[in-house]
Amino acid sequence: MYAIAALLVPAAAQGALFQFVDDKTGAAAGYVPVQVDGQLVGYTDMYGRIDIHAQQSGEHTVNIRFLGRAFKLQLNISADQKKLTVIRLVEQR
Amino acid sequence: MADGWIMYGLAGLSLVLGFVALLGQKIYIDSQTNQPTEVELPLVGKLKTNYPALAFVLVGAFLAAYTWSKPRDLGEEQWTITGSFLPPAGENVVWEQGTLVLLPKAFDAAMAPNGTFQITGSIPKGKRFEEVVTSIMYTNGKVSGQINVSEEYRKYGAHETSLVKSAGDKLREYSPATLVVYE
Repeated sequence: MYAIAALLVPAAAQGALFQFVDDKTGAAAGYVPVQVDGQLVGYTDMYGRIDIHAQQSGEHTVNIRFLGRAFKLQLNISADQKKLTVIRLVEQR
Repeated sequence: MADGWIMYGLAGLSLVLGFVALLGQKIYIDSQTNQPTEVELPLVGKLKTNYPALAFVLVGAFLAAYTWSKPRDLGEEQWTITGSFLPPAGENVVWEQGTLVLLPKAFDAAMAPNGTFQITGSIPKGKRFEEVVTSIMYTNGKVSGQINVSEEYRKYGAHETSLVKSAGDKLREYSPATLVVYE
């Protein structure tokens, strides 16, 4: 239903860092709940950023809701991801 | 809510007494006309009945309807949440420049200059803090961090390593949570 395009942005941090932005407007998906494999892991901050810790490294299903729209993504979450991965939320019809 | 149950109890008692009286009623004779007392009801028509029994039923129905129509006020309790965030290694954080938020329920919250917070907020009676708030978050343009309230409380209950330092009645105390740098 939904697809994503990911851009890598250099960063110096620890953990699996993601930032979710609306592909259409560029607006950050701030303060939205983030579910990994059906489990709520936290909320993005006001800039749409979140540090995700998954039980196991690898591909995980991530669900987020933003502005009344639901996005289902497949993200690679590693235990020691040093770079901030920017996820552009693209709605497909 | 106890008041509501008392009202429902009275309503039920009135209805039961009224029906019992109606079922086992005696016909009352008007002393002046020597005719049985008549009561006219909309839709039902004229009834020869006794006033007290009917009054009981009506009072019961009124009490029940009134109690049902009243908004249910469960009340709220004051909770106090304390904790702190630690800046990432080598970072100097001016705490007042960031934002402390509780999600999804909004509380008035602010960081103290030393990186600690004390939050007081109202939560519906009978609910735990973790049922109302799932995340405590601090963020500024550069660093961010959050306490996953539900998960940390679960770990605390399971005697696993948790950010929950103590959990009392209407009180939560969190150990320092380290922020992450986003650049």
